[in-house]
Amino acid sequence: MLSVPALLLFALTVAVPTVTSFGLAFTDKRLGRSAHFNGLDNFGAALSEPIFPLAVRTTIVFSLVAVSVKIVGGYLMAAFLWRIGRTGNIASYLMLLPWLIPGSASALLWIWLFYEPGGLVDRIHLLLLGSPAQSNWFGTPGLALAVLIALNCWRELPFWSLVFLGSRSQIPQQLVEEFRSINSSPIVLETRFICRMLMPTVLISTALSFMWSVAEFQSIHIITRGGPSNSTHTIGTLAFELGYGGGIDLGVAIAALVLFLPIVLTVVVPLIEVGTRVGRQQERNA
Amino acid sequence: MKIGGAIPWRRGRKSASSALFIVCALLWISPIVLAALSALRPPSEIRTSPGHLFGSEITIRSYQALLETPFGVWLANSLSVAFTSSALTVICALPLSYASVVGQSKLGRRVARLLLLTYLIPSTFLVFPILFGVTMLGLRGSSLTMALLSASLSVPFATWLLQTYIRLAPLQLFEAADQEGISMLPRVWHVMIPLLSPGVLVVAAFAFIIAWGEYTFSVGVLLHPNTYTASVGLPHFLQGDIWRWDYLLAAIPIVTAPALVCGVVALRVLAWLRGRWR
Repeated sequence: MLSVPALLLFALTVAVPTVTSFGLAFTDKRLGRSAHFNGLDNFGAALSEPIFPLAVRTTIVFSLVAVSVKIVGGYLMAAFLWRIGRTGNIASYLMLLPWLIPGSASALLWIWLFYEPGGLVDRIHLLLLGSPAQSNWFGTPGLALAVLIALNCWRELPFWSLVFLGSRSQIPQQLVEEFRSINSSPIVLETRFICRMLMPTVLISTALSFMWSVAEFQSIHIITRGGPSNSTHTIGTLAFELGYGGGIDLGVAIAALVLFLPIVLTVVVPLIEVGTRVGRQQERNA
Repeated sequence: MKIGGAIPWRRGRKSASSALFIVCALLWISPIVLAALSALRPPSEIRTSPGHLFGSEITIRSYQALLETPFGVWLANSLSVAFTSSALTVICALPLSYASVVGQSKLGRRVARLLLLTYLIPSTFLVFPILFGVTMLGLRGSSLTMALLSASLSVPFATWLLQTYIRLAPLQLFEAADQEGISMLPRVWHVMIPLLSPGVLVVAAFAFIIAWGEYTFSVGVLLHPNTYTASVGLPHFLQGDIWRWDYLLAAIPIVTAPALVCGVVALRVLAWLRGRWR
């Protein structure tokens, strides 16, 4: 009985739409028209969409780079905070601010930073180096993606550092002292002991971060809309364009997303599997 | 509250490292702070030279000009959606966590785990069918719809948080009160509610932050400018021929404030709880 509200919400907002989504991928549904079954036509159309391979590549590059920076950076920041103790906390809470503010606000803020000419970065470049930056940040293919990755890391890295810090503080102090009495080198402590203890958290966090990075939509939609020259289109934004842009072909849009799912699952499932298995083993050993 | 630090760095090294970290943290959030600072200029100057931090005078005219835009309506919509979403999240998550932990309901535990699947499905995948359903039911533009959708994003994590919380909370006090012969209503009011309040507060704050920043679904569901939330409305300041930097830079700190308050509340309560239950 008590589970009913949550279950109902889940059914209405996740379960039913997911199943409907899969179903729509096999129809020729367009807005305002009824759906007719058309087999695997949508998947063929999605694959032959000229931007599709580029979008897949961009999504993978974006996710891999962003996740690496966020998880490794978060881990290192947590290690540092753990060693300096209490004072670090207030500052680390402050660093959560980019994650707390609405995503659209942070995207617009970064447009202000990198606006050419006259944005804040341009001004700072002028002040420090005597000449304006003259880089078309959002108009140059490689640069635009780099800025979007940086924005993503700016928002999310401190969140993971606090998650890892929380996990670290769960490690019983006496275990740490025991290890230190055997080997006092802090690097060995970190790599041989703490890293192993945190492995479940790190693996599952990586999986989750990867999911979120793959699904990143609002910053790209607001800042570049997939441009310049479709260089920042990810599967998410491409599907949105196919579904709401000129094409309005929802079946194809969803087919594109479904085609990408195996790539996501190959990364996420092993991470979660190994993470939970190691976690269970640690609980048994404790 | 000591959080670790097994390696006994010398005091000087610790203080220097802390100071360095505080500087880095301030640099990290500087774009937000600098935007607020930059907005304290005359609107015309902000529009012509957005990247400057200081102008001919310090004025709050940009903030005042913001009030003449629909921003006020957007802010009100955001607050309404966020508060409703918080309430809905607690209504869904609290009974479920209670049932799965205290009631030891197997179904409850399974449902809670199932809910976590939500985070494995990208929202772009759910957007289309949800928009269909919403349009068919004529619920487009409704605050309640947005609140429900935002709640669906926070309920799984909220359930997990509350389960952990309820497991650690000294709920045996509630049972003890029963054995003392105290009737249900005073028991709930004087024992249960104070026991559960901190956990519920954290969960409500978290749900508020999620709903406050929600964009992907909002962009599809909220079509009419009067129904926009702040999250959806802000990008409109940088559209068209003239980009209204003055409105945007003034809006940034206003949009930050509620999320900051909720974040501080949630983190303070969590720290307090960790201290109590160590």
